[in-house]
Amino acid sequence: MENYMETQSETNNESIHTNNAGIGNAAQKIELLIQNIEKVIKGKRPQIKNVITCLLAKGHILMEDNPGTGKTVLARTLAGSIADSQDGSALFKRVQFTPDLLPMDLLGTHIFDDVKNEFIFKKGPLFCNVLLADEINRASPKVQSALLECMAENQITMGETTYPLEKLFFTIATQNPIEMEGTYPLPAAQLDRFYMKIYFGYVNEETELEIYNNYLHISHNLEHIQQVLTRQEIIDLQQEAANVFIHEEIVRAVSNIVRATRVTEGIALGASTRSGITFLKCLKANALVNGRTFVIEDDVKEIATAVLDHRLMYKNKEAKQHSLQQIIAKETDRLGKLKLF
Amino acid sequence: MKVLKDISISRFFAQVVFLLLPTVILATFILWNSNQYFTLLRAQWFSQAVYFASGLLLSYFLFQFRFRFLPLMLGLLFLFFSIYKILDNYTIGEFDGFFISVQFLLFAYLFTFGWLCGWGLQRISFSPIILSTIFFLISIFLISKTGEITIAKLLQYLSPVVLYTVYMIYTNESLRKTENTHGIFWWRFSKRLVLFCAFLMLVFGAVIYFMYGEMNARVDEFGGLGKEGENQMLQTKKDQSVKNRESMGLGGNNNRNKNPEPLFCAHIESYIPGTDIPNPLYLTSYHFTKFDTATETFERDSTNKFNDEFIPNPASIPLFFTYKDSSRIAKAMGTKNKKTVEVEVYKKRLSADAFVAPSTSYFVQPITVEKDFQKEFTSGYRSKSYVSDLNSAYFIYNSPNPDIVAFQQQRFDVLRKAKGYENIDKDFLNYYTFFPSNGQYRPVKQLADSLAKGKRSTIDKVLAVRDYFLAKNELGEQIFKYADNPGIPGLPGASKLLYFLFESKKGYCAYYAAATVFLLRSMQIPSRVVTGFLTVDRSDKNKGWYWFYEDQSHGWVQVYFPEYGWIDFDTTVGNDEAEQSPTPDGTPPMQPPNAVMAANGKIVSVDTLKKTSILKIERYIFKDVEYNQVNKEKGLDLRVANIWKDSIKVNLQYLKPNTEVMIVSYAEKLKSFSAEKDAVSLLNKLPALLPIDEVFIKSDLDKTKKTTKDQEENEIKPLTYYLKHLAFILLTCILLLFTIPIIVYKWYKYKYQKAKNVKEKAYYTYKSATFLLNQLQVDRLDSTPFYFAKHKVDTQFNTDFTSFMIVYLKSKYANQVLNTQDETIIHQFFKPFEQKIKSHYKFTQRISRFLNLNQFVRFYHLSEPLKNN
Repeated sequence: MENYMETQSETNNESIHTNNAGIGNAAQKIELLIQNIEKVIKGKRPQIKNVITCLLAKGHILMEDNPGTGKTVLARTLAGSIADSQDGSALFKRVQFTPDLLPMDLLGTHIFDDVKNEFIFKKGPLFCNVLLADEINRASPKVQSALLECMAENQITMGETTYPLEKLFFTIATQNPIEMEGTYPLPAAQLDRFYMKIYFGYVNEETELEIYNNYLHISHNLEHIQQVLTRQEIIDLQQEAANVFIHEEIVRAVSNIVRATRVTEGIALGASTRSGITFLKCLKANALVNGRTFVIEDDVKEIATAVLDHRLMYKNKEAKQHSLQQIIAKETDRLGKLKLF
Repeated sequence: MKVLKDISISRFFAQVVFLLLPTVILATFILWNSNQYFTLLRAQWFSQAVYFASGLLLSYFLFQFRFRFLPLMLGLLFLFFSIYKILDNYTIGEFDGFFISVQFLLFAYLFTFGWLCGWGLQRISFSPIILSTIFFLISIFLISKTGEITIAKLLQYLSPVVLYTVYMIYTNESLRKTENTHGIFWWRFSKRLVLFCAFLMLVFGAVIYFMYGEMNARVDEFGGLGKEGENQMLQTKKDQSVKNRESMGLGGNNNRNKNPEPLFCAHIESYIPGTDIPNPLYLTSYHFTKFDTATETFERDSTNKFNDEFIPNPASIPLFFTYKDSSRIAKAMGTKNKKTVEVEVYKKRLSADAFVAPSTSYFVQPITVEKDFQKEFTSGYRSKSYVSDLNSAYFIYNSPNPDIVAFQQQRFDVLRKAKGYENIDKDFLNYYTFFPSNGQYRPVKQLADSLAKGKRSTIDKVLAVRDYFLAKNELGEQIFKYADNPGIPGLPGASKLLYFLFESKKGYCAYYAAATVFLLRSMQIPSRVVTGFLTVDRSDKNKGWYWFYEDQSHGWVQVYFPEYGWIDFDTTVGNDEAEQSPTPDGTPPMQPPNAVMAANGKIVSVDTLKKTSILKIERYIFKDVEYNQVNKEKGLDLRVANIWKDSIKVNLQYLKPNTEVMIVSYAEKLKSFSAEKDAVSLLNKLPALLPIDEVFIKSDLDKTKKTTKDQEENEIKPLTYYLKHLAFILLTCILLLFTIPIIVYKWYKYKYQKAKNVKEKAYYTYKSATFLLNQLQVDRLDSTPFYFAKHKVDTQFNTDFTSFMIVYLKSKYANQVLNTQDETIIHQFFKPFEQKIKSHYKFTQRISRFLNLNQFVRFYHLSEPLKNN
């Protein structure tokens, strides 16, 4: 592994000089993945990068937006891009959350085996590599909390037995805006499990026209999506993301930001220490996604809102729009002016 | 106590700095001014300002919170009242108690005033306007109290208040309006303020610069802007002492102050020849000899080679030392019937530096005032004048008193025999008879010719002029009347006089004197206007003593008679309305015996037993002859000597070696010696132990007094002097300010060139590059440096800033050692980059952008995040 890192950093250095296109081994793979997804999801590069950041940080992601903006397609494309070493594509499961969904519908259930004369565990949809939890906030809090353990511990406990989930387990949850009818707001603990919450948003005019012109091909593309990375390669990348160097001043900046959210006027509930750790993990992954082996202030700026915004409770709308932005701007500005030698 | 919502520290401090500080400064200025005039306040303006400021600050701070006004105010008043009572009851010693009480009252008043101001500024919305009005009224009150009004004084008092008013209203409003959400508050606010102040100064300076002369002329014309209570013949100085004006007062009003307090008293050693009947003489101070056709006034002329005006400053001459100028006698040009008259003047309210004496004076010697009279009289001097026998106050009164008329006739007869002007120096004659005869002055000439018709001698012509002014009409009323307020419209001097002569026919002494000289000079009689004091003999008891009040300040005429010299001549008609000072004259001070010898020097040694001492004499005066740079030691006999220190009698112990002293001797024993040419030989002839009567120890006070006097002189410099300096300093500061961005850029580049290691070099390259871009208005806004490099700079200028930024960030954040390739990037990046960036802008464009301070500040400030929803 160390040898790998060395070669990695060397190639990375060289790549810096030539240009951004040619990057190191890891960066190359990530770029390949992004480009693959972009074949289907057009004009959404920042969101795709965020998703991959979360994937590499061993986290989960929550996407919020109106229906029909491509959230589901993104999840499916991602799953389709990862090859399973045994049977082709990675295991992709999709669960449509509804108010009457029960926990066992997710986790699985014990059923009686007539032949063996015992209860056997029938695995639910959670036993997969990529789980698309569609419209998660339509389900009852009971079901939502059932997701808690598996997202945090990567395992399921049924009765006395604990079943480990797949080594690569990545949840992409989508939710409709809270204001819409028939939704249950996610509990704070649940929200905390999601490393990031991103907004999908509508594409710009040009991209939208392009999508309309090729609408027939979308499903076609989806079916013929290439498998560019193996499951093992993703796991290796996750490992590599964990090894990205993070300067102590960046750590201080993260700490400053997290602490600032607790004392800022207009923020009712600040970020937790856990969110700080999550932030650091995401920073590392994001640096790797951007083809670097060290974190810079740009990483902070790129993902801070996505990582922290959904963990904070604001007092009013104005605070929601500006408070966090100001804290981040202040810290990145401080980092930018820092004299480190 | 609940705190008012949203107290922001920076706003509070901004208010303290920008609202309270100017208020305190203005209050200090006003206090300082009032200290000049009110003895109660005298000389403590600084502590008074501190009282005011403490009240202001405390209440401003307290009323920031939710205190109610009334309870606090009542509490404060109660506190003051009780402290005052306690002070009253428990202070020991009547004088101390009084002193402390007065001090405390002063403190209480000022503190309370400050308190109210602070409360107003904090709580009342229109407080700046109210406050300014109050300060304005105080200033006007002060101006009205301080005598003479000049435009400089008006500006000095009013301009700070006007500036303050405009400033306060603007700043208060601006402070309310400026948003306080960002750190940029201070910069933004002070920027606006500085711009506003610069604008204000510019407007104000321009107004003063262009209007100053205009305003001055206008004020002069109306004789002090409608201000009444001005004596045109006297000027009042800051310390309330008075002296004759150095210019001819032909203002609108001559308000002769009916101040019952005499100005000074004088002993004039002049008697009618052969009798012991005192012969009073007018005391002159200034001669107005030259008629200036441009300003149409009579002026003093020091360039006149026949100038016999003798104006020493008695205050600057050491006690008992003399100042003598015998050349004045020669310049007075007349020796017949002349004798030396000694005059001693003891001053009460007359300025210490003023000098009056009968003309022609040539000698002055400051003398001491006897101890018992020191409270009443501040200083005194002895003067000698070379006076004609024919001169007398009686001679020149145009009084109807038959005795005086008879006495005058005698003397006129003498003067009728005086020679004509044929043999007189032509220059002299031309100078003293100069008068324009053209244009508006033609009627004067015609009048003069008609008056001189049939008159042969000079004195008859002069009398004709006097009689012209004394003439009565058919009803027995005087045609020319005396009026302190002649009610003449604002016209230049000569026009005023013509108006007086031909139209209004009323005026005060200056009008009569000047008009007389007009007429006399038209008749080719040398004459001049002099000012000073007319002498009135009211006293029977003390012969030769005369008292002088403010209403005796006077202007009259001197006429030149060949051989006899200048003779006083008064044409002012009697003032029917005026009452002579009713108060009887006081007791004159005892005349000290004439000092035979006075000397300055340092004590070498003192023998307290024998009461002798050795003095190193630096200079001395013996029988009015002065000897300088003597430097000789001489024994002193101090057995009968009085030793004075700060006008307190002390004993011999106070005389120590090296103290500077002044010794005086009245001893008869010394009178037998006569003055000699050589200082040392005379000293040797005198007895070994000089009998000394007075020793004055020189205190350090004299020296400090001198320095404060110097400072006072410095203060009188014209306003434009300060304005010029201020403008210069401001200009330099502004220039320096604008070059700051360039200096900073050069400094970054210098640091970049001198960098010791790669990391440092990378850092300063980054700094220089971003500074350059910022100053050229390539704004980074809130984007990160890397994003800025990649998406803004490189796309706009086609540079490779991004690759440098990658290396820089790597050197900054990564734990990797930079390889050679990275280092070459760092070393080779900046110069081509700078050239490329610069090539995009014209030189003038670069310069103008580099002068932009706003942009400079932006480099160091966090730019506000863009408001994205």
